[in-house]
Amino acid sequence: MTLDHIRNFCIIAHIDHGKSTLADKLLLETHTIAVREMEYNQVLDDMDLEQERGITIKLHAIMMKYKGSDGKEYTYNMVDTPGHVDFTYEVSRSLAACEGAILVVDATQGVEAQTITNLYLAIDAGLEIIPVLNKVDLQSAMIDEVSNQIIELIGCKKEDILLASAKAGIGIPEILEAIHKRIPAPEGDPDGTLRCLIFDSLFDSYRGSIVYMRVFDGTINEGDEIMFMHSRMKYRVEEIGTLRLGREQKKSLSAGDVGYLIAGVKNVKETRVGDTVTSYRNPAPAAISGFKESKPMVFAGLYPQNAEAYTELRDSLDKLTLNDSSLQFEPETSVALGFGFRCGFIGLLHMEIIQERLEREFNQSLVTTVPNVEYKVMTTSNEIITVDNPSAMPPPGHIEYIEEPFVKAQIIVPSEYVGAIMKLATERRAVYKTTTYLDATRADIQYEFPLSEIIFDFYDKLKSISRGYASLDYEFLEYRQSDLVKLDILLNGDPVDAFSTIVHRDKAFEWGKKLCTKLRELIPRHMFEVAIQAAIGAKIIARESVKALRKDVTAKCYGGDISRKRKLLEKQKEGKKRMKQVGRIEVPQEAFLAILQITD
Amino acid sequence: MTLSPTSSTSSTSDVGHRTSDFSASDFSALSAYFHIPFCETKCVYCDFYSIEDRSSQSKFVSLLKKEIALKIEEHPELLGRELHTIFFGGGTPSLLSPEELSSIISEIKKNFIIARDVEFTLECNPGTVTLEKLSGYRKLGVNRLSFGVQSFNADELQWLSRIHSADEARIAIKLAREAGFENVSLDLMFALPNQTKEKLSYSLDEALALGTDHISAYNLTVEEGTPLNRMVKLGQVGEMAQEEAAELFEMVQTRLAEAGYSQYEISNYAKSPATRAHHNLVYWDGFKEYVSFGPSAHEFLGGMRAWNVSSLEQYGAMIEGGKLPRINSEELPIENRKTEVLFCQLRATGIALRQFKKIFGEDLLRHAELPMLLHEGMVVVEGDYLKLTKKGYRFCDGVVIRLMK
Repeated sequence: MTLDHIRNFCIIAHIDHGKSTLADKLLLETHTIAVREMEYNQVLDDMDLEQERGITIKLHAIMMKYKGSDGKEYTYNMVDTPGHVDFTYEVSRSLAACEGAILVVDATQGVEAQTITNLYLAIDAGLEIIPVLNKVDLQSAMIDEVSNQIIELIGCKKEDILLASAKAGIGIPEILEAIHKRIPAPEGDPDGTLRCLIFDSLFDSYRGSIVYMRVFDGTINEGDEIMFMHSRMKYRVEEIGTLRLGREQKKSLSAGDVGYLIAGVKNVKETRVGDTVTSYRNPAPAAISGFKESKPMVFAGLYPQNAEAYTELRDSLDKLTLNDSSLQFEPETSVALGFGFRCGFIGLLHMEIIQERLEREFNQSLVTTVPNVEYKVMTTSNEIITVDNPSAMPPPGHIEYIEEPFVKAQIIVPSEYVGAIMKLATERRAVYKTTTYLDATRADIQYEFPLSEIIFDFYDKLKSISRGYASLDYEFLEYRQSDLVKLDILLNGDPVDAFSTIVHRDKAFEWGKKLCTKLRELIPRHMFEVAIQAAIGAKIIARESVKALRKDVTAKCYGGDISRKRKLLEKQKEGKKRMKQVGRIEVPQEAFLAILQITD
Repeated sequence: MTLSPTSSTSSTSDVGHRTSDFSASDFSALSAYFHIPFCETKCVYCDFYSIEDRSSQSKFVSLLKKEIALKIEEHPELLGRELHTIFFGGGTPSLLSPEELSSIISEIKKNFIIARDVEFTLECNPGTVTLEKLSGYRKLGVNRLSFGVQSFNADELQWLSRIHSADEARIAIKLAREAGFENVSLDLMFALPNQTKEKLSYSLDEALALGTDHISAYNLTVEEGTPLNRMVKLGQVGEMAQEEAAELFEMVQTRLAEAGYSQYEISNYAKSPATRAHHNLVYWDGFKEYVSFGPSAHEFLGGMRAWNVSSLEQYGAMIEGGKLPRINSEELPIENRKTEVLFCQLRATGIALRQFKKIFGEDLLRHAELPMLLHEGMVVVEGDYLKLTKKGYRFCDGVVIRLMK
């Protein structure tokens, strides 16, 4: 059996550049789905959240049959890729499952940072690139400029760039033709030792982990005994098949094929993205390279609003980790917030998604602490400890030095905003590396950032100072020593652990002041004055106070309208119940995220 | 208005049975409220239902009479009940001529018995009264007048869009005495934007000089939907800071107490227990029943709260269609009733502890917040009553919320 009828490819694009629309049009054109089956605008994104965010969070793949102009029947496997900075590793594994990539660039927007990052990943993986200029029918399309950017980037010829409008259906047949003409057929030996690359997995409550994979060598059959090379776990294949709109069961899959595998695996942690599936009896000598354990970079405490919901929250997190091997959590206790969990996320977006899913899909009411990174602390007793919770930071006298994670960041921005970006980067303690110009109007600026400086509102800031044009991509670089201090907040003299943050010494004073001011606005008046203090160790660096309540009554209750007043009081009571009681002080939940609301 | 979740079931439930849960309902005593929705001009702060177009006033009188008849049709058990208090509020009830009032009273008398010692109050705007009119009211059995004076400062009266001057207020109260009224009340407002202590002090001096039997002093509140609310939102008017308002409140309390008026509710002060506003005390009892008539009026009968539509047009249309002009009603689960009784009784003469325990099964003396409330000087226990202190009146809402479950 030859493999030359198979083409495996993915689509690389920036958010909103039209990837999903293009994918849909390819499916329609190849009759993989009918118009009426397109219940949503874009079939590849099937989670609510993705629909709303316009981001593909979970990878999928789909098979199309296409009859080429050469008269041959082709099997196209389109592998979807996530499109956000948090998911670079997942993207790289999807790319590794393909021989080619369609690079979609919005002709009205030009090349963006993420496009470049993903493009470089694709080029590194040896993929054939088909550049597609999308939205060419729009008046604001800058076909020549953006074409030049693409030529500059990948060194192709102008004729290689396909012009399209996925929305209007322009250029779709040309793209389908280019796929079999330009992208090479997969190589691999159907009779060789089995090696399959996992590029995604998701959890099904009836079947267990459903593994999405690309077969590189060998043939896998229903009933075979297999092994996941990283986890060393042995299983029997219950079902395999290809991916159409749903799963299509097959007896076997061979080298070059993209499909799914079900083997009764109870936990997605055993079917990690990037791991290799091989035969248990005749294992491959080496796994497919590139496997990485995805490590959480951002940490935050998640607490149930009501202490009774603790078990429920744990169960919800358990269920989420079944489907999301990047999410980590462990129990922690806060003096202020009670029992909760310290959770690790691969990035801030990942954290937001988890929070939203807990609230929406699992009906959890959460109190979230300010996110932080993981620090390495050298103590005076020459011990290195890792700290993923600011309140666990040793006292200043016990610290020799602190290291924090740095990332390599790439910002692509129209040249008129370079000044503003530089200013923002300086405020965020960035180390400038280089600037290159993609063309006359677009600059590619490279920085090294402390990760902690970009997990707060950095992305939003970046967008707002560049009117939405700047794009960002980053990856972990290394741990570096920084002059960091733990900033504590005291309410009426008692430190509140959930408010502690780690900041750079130069910023501590200003942050302390701003945080106190913000908390003064958020904490309601009590029967007594509430003193809010910011401190580094024993030293108070800022102070504010919430004055005591002087009057708490509205006279209204005349003419016998008792109902309105009752409802008002009941509402106030509910509001009071939602607050967290810290000692005698009632603190509204949003106060625990006050630091995120501080504008610099 | 929205239908409360409980009201859908209440229509089918056995009202008689439910009432027996709240056995403190006193069937012998009944009160009646009449809402007269006309005003010469609507005041900036007022959110009671009223209209400035008085062309339908005489038609309204006949509608009000029909409503009384309809109410008896629907509640035949009310026929012949004795009214212990009657209150004409508004709006401006003193826009009614004695003849119009007489015609309403005769309809009342057809259906109810007016108690010999009834407290019969009519709210008056000082700018709308003459000796003749007040004498007419007195002859019809009205025995208490409540004057909406609000302030004795000309600039404040103008800002509040009152139609009368300070002198007219003084004269109106003299005329009331001349007409034979022995129970006269006046309303004041404080914590007006930028009000100084001196200004309020002057109004208090002037009010005290008139020697009324009762004084209500209301802290101005900015209510949704009023012109004042819009002015605040547009930044044309600043609400008084809590510290200042609290100081003025305390000044009102102190000055009136010194002058021999004892506070028996957040905003109400009486020279003697006899001249308290007994009609309002019925509202704040939480159990006593009252019937009501007129647009937007609220009643409490047989354990059920009900209220009328706040539109004279719809009010008329419904009555002419032979229906009570009711827009909504609710019969509350016990937990909500408990809240009602808590805040109603506490804001006035205090929570009757034995009754509270008997009906709601909760001994407030064992409430976890009580020691702290006593320590803070918010409440005192006097005999069977848990009462607010002078300070407690200024923190009534907060105290109620702490006592709620």
